[in-house]
Amino acid sequence: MAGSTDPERDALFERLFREFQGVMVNYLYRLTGDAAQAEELAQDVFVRAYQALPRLKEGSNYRAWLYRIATHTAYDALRRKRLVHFLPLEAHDAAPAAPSDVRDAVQEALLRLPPEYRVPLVLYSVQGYSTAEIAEMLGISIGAVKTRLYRAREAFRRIYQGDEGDGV
Amino acid sequence: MVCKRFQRELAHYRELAPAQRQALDEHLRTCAHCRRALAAYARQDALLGGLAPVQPSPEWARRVRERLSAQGERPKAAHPAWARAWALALLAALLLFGSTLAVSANALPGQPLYALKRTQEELRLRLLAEGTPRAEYAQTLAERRREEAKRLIQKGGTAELAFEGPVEAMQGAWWRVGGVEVQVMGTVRPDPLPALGERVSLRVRIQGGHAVALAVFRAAPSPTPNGGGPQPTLTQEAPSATARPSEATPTPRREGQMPSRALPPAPSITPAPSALPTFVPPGQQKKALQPTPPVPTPTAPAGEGQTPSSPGGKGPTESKRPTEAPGGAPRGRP
Repeated sequence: MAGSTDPERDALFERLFREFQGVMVNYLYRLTGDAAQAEELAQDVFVRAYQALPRLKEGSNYRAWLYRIATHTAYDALRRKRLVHFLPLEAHDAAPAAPSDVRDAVQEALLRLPPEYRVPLVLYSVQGYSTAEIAEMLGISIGAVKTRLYRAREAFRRIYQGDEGDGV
Repeated sequence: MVCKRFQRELAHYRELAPAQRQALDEHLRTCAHCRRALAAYARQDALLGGLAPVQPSPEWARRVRERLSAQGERPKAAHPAWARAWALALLAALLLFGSTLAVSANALPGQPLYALKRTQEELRLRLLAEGTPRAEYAQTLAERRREEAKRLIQKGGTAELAFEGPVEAMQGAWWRVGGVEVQVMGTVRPDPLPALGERVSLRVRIQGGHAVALAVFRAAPSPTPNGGGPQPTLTQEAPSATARPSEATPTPRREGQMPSRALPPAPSITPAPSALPTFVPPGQQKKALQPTPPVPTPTAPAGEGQTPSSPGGKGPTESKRPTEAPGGAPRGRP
């Protein structure tokens, strides 16, 4: 094989790739709001994962590890390309353009959250993970996750309420 | 303010321990503000959980593999180690016959190099990444089988081979399938008869400038670049120029086809000529047909004509999210 001489590594990577490819693309799509960019970033995630796989300790939580790579990849991309759609909450008094439908409004509100709030909210409410799992994925304490989640919910509520006039 | 105590807990209500939840529920009975917050969070979960998942495009997985391959990290397609070793060994052997391979590209069934040609095709098919590339190549192979049949008929060669294609015309015993004119006797016709345009899979004996069907089946749906469709029969045909139909390898059963069974008596088919595309059966152009040889009962030998594993498989989807009561049970996850 080209470059790699470790069949076990290849087999493990293949398993992870098959299991998480769709999940990762969806996660990154929720963070970026751009399907094409999500696919590009998901490629980066799996390339990084393959390169880092030999350094991963046996018995590691592969899912948490992949999510950590994906989250950092998304942060980097959002910073680098200035694609953070976040608008300061205080500056959001002006009436926004009416979204075409509820899903657009929800995604738009999500993109207006700061990434550090967007990530735990997506992991908790979209992907369905527990705060303990999210803490492991992000490498932060459970308490920090709960705080960010609470702030994310309140921020989302204000943003979406502003868009829709509907309390969420 | 007493609410302050509960605010953070409301945000992750679904995973509270029973004692915490009981205390919070008691508070909720008397606090409209917190009840509104909990209801709002529950609606958030419903809205966010209701976002439609996106599926990676069919090309995406291939691009990932290509990128890894380009960086010298991985092979273009992942296979078990033993499969790669097997493939490499075969490749090495085939390389020794490089020039022979080039010559074999034009080989027809019954010719010495035809087996090499088919082996090369099968190897290439197996090495292609699942999904679009494999499905496209499978289509190419299906077309190649039909071309071989046409060339054999033109050359007056003798061989048995299998191919599939759409039924383009039916006039009595003469059918045109994927551009190949075939004599289909009543004993081998599927019951009910395929409609015009429907894909059928045939095993034919070509001799004396015309093809006689030994077995006809309805084919599985046409392969598509997105995968999932059938692959062409990849088994080696009986190359013997003297093989009798009764000695022929039976036509394999493929996914989506009817199971092997005794063939029904020939149905009477006399389609209205006006409803059919017109073509002149070769028997009317050339000569009377040879007596139809006995027809073998088609069975499904193991490993023959099997469809390779589903290209790309079923991509993992986003979390399964069962409907959740406000602040209720955790959702599913990948």
